[in-house]
Amino acid sequence: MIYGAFGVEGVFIFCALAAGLWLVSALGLSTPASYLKAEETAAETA
Amino acid sequence: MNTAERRATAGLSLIFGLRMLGLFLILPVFALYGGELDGATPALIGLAIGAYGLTQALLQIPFGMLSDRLGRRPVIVFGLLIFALGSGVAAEAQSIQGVIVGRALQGCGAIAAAVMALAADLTRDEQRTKAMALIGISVGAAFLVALVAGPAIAAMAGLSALFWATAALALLAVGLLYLVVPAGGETAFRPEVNARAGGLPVVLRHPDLLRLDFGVLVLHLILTASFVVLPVVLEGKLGIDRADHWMVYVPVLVLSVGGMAALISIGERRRILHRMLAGVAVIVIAADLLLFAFNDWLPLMLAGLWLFFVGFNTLEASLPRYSPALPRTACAGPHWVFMPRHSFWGLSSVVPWAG
Repeated sequence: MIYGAFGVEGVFIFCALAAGLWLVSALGLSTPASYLKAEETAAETA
Repeated sequence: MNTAERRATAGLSLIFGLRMLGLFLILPVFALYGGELDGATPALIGLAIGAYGLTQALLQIPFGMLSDRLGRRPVIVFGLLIFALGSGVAAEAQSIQGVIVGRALQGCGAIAAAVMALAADLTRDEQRTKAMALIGISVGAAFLVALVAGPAIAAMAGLSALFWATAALALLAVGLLYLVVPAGGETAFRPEVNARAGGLPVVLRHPDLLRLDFGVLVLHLILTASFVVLPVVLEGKLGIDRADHWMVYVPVLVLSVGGMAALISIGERRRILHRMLAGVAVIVIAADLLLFAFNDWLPLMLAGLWLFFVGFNTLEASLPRYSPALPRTACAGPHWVFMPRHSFWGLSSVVPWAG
């Protein structure tokens, strides 16, 4: 539908906007437990 | 790995790879050839590509649960046969509506979760990651082969032949299941593999898992939407013959592996892989802006495509590294961890009908 209405460029802009939403979502990812554990081990060693 | 594990992994990787090859073969050519079907419009072409994902999304989890009760093999065979039937319907269709029905039927053969679960059944804990990685490699290889074979088969014999080829691949996969994958070994219930009552709502509420699922949704949405228009751009704007499109896709895809390896290496070394996933989103935005602004100039169009595949591969390769850090009690094992993701792959495939 977007291609039909706005052409190829419309699809790529739609894709960029979708990726923007994902960026907002990905910023909220928490630090993986394995990284936290590695940091704890490094702190203990130090 | 012992002999039985090697046979199981090789057989299931081939089955998964053939199944995905059957799916991917259509991707690089359907936008071009689908237009020749009766009643075709851009929206219906998108729906034909995405109809597979809709039924796949709806049935992935039920098929996985059914395989817990009835056994993996019967469910996998049933799914492959439905996929073959759908391919036959699409191959014989003269109209876009017929192809949409065929594609929806193809998606009803939702066997990914059952194949993964069988791989888990037939391998020991310490070998399971290797088995899953090999299955993942088979999917990547299938994508690469499809980008070359899809345009070539379609140029030689048309869209119908392509759908018949996917049916043949599904039947070949049924044969492999009985000839290569060792019989027996299916576990009736194993907490780390099978679904646990009440596990799904917990997983669906897990914030990090939802964020990862959303990332996969968006990335596959973009991949599928892009393949609705990329063949048109290559042929219409850049004058590249439809049989030669693989000469664009394959080098870009192969070179993107280097970019992916560099990003993952930096992310792991500096322990910022979770931040890197946000960086991947920025890369994909940049890729799409390049494709938006310079899709009539080959060098920058190739750069945009390369950036997109770097982002795509990085996310795909990062997820298994990130997922194990999620609480096992919430995920109740790989079954639920992977199944929502497969469902989202499916959903993401259906969304581009809008594109």
